[in-house]
Amino acid sequence: MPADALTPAAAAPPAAVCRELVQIYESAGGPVHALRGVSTVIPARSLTAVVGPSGAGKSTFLRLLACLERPTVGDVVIEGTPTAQLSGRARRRLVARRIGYVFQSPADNLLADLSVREHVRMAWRMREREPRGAVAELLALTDLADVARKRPAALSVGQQQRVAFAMAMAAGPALIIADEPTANLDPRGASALVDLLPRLIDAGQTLVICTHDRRVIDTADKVLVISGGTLAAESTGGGELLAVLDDADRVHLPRELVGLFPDRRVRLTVVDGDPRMERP
Amino acid sequence: MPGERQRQGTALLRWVRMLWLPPWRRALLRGWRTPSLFLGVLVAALVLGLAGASRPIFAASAARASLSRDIETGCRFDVGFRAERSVSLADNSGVFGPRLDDATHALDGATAGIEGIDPVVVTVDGGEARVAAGGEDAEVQLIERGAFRDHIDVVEERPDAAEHPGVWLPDVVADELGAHAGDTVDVSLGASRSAGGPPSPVPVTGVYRDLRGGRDRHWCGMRFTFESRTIGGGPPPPVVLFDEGRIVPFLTDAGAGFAPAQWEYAPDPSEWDLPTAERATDAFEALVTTANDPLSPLGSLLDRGATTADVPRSVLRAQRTVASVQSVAGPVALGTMGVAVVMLLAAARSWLTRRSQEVTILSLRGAGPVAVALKGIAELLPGLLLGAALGVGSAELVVRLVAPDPHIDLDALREGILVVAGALLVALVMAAVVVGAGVRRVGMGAGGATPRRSLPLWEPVVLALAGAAYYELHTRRTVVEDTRVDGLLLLFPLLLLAGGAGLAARLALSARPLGWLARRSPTAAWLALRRLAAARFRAALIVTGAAISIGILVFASAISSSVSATSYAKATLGYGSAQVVRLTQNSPRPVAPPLPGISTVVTRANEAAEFDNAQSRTDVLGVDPDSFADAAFWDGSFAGRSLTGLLGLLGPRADQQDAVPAITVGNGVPDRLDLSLDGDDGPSSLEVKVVARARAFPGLAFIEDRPLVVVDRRALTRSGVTAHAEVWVDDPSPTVASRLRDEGLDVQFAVQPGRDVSGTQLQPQLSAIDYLEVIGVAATLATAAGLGLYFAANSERRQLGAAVARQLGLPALQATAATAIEVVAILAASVALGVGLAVLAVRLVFRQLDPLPHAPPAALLRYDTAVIGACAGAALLTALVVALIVQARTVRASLPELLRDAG
Repeated sequence: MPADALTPAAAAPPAAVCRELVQIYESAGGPVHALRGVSTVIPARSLTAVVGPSGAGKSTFLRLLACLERPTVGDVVIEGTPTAQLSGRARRRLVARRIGYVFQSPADNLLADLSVREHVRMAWRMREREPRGAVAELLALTDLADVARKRPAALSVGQQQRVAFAMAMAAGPALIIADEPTANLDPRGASALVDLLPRLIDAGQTLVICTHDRRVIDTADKVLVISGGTLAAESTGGGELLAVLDDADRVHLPRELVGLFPDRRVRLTVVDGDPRMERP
Repeated sequence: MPGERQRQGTALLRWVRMLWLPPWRRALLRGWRTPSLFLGVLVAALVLGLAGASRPIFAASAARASLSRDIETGCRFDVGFRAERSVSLADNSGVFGPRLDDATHALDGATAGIEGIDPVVVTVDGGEARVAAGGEDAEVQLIERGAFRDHIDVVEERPDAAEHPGVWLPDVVADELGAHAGDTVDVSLGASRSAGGPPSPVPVTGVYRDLRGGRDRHWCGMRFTFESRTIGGGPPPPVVLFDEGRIVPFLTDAGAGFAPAQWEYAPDPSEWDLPTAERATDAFEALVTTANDPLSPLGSLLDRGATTADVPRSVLRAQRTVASVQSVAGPVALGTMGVAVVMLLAAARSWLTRRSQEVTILSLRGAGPVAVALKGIAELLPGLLLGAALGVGSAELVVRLVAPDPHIDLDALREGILVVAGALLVALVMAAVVVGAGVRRVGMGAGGATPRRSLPLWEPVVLALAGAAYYELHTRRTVVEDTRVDGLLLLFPLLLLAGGAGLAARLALSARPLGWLARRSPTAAWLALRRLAAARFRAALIVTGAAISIGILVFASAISSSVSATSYAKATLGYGSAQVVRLTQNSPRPVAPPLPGISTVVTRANEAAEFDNAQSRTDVLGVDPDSFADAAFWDGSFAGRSLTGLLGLLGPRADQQDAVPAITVGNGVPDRLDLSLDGDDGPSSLEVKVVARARAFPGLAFIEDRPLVVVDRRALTRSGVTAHAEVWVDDPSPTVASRLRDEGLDVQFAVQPGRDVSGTQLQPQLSAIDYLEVIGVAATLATAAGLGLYFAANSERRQLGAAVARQLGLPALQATAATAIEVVAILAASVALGVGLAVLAVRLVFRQLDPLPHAPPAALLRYDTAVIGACAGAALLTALVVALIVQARTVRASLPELLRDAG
């Protein structure tokens, strides 16, 4: 992933762009700032992992990215369409047709009395009429052809989660968002799911996955580190680690780099217009 | 614009296609998979169906009962249509009137289209005559009446009666003449019908028991043919009955020119409902107008005849009954249906919660609120339809059990089904709105924890409203006016039950008392109390709901019993007994009770006695102290001591040789007085000493300020007062009069006060109050079903709890005992609160329901102990059954399996 991917002038149009997302919830104890201004770009045909400690704002970020909630401030642009000003109906239509969402618990993604094939067909038909053989292809891609007639109760949890991904992929949405999809899986099921992810990317899908699973993070093209409601760091698939400059002009260092500055002081120099950070 | 229209068309097509996807297509079958929700919807729809359908069915039943009462207790020939006219007997048609057959044919044609009436009964009056045989003769009346053969008591009959029609002699005449069936008697007409020709020989077909001693209702329209027309007058001559078609030839041969005839069209009780009666009323009124119009063909035929139709009076009474029932049933049914709709909406909301995951999945994929609402409605629909059908069926069953007439009117049933269908439609639309509006809220928030809700303190507000309703009721003179029952009469007990039961349940089930009790209880009770404490809110709701249902049933049955008992007491008190038979002045005066064990002889001297120097008048009742209690109507509220105790005071005492002991009722009677009486042979006096005073006494007339003095009947006899003798009989049977005649007494008339009550104007209100029992039974059924379903729905959780407790070492018996204690505690609290609050409500309002507050006795209070017992028994049975079922299932349950199923 090139370093200039954050700029709108990137070569391939991004699947989604988040601009200064702020989300404040009202609660009995006063307002809760779940997100404090997160901006990022989700490149098309890539896997983006969202990581961070519990309560950092990951799930809020995913819900805003999936247009399930309106941000207090900011905007989410899906395939070039700003969503902040869309009517509720238009947003719901956008979510239904262009975004696939996979819940953490496999059972939450499925209906008990539908077979695997019926799930995928239903998901497809609620977006558009599926081309002949499309359902079978999708089942083959997700290694579900053998269990196409089975119902969720007869599947392993790994298979159930693959069905959820197959449903989310139906009719080729702009974005597939998954909230810790491997959290409830045994190692074998999780491996099978992780092995599936590159194939989905190759098939043209854009995935954003909130996860703690190292294997998913290692597979990701881009990693977003969210902490305390802010985007603390971003890394690309080439190992390059980017610090993030927030709205208050503060630089957030990736956690693993903080140890390099035991005095918590940084010498900042500019050589030929190129900023550099050094220990004092 | 065409592009926009095309896009909309495509969207609509996609929406319609979505409804054919499996989640919608299979929705009708999904409802069964959530048993508790399905059963909840079933019960709510059952209550709705029962309340909606029972109102018109019950009203129709009450109207039918009112009409039937008029037919059965009155004279059904008086209710229908009657025409009277003299008919020509010879060929001189037109001189004395039409020929009998012509008139009958014309009337049959005119009444052919009227529904619900029996075929015509034709009576021809041959007038007075003399019958002679074997040198003896007797004065008789000659009558021919249709279908008489089925309404006489045959003493003897010739075997070939069908081939030899003739006359039927009453047994008294047959005995006097020494005539038997098969003989021939000579009949000569009276002077008013004949020019005095020779007697005509007529064969005797049979002998029947004289109808003057007793007869069935076929003869009710001919009372003066068999009874004296004047008080104290002798009875009319016995009746010789002619076989059908025989009297006209006989009268013609005997030289009579005419005979009065009567055509009666009585209602057919099996078809006589209010709509039929109303249509018949219109038809009869039109017929009367036509018959009385000399220019119409019928009028010209029946010229100078009289036609009457008394249908409107009975129809009016039935319409008043319907209005009265509607005044109660309308708001009660509407309120119950409202509660049922709220239950259904709660079920719809519950569906949304239970299907939140599914709703989220479908919503994320584009299913809008309408589509989700349709799916929800489709899932609830089977339970809804089945419940409504069961509700309508239950309404029919309950009305059969409780309503005054068990017959179900089909028109009313149809109306009830339409009402229920309409209410279901409204409920479905509202449920769809609830689901649709809730879809947005479900979304991603489905996984979050639901905050614990607590109900605000609503009970004091409801109790305050109950207090206001009571104040309003208490300050009114009466709550039963005209035909309508005051709505507050329904509102007050409901508010008292809801507020009282709710508050008591909330207090009893609050954490502190339960915790205190649990700490001091053995294991099983501790477990039960902990379970109750864990589900306090739900348990309080169940107790409140069940208490309201039981309370309504107890309240309605007690009010119904009290008003009936009060009405009966007021009607009976003045007469004195279940049946009062007045003897003619010529009748012998029995010394001992003529029907031992159930009768007594009483002498009345109403308005005849004076005291206080003729300034005051009183009624005097002479009773037989030994037998009076056998027949007199008595209620413990009439006096401070028993009737037997009072009567014991009437015997002569040594220290009162000069004065007759007396019991008095009413004000103004001194302790000792001289009564001036109208004796048989002139004025006489009687000195009496008051030995007891009562609030009411059998025989007390409904006249204010006129007291009653009760003395030993022998004292009146000694004073020469014997004129108005009555036999009081504790038996309302219509055969009593004939039994007394058999004893040699001459009966002037007999009165059954109970008939007055059934025919009283109070009947509409009584029917209206009875409807409360329908709702009470319905509510109790629904509560029993709801409780059973609640425990059934929670059986898995209970199984798991019991299995875990058993695994931890709790014996199976203790586990069962814990369940039994829990269920019994809920049900016992429901029964105790429901019965207690209902009794309180009844005690507070029953006096306001007195239909005649100024007439003695004061309002009586009666509880239907059978209903209270049935409630307690049903509660105990339910507790036992539930405990046994849970025990049986727990014993079979495997803890690992239960834990796996529980996830």
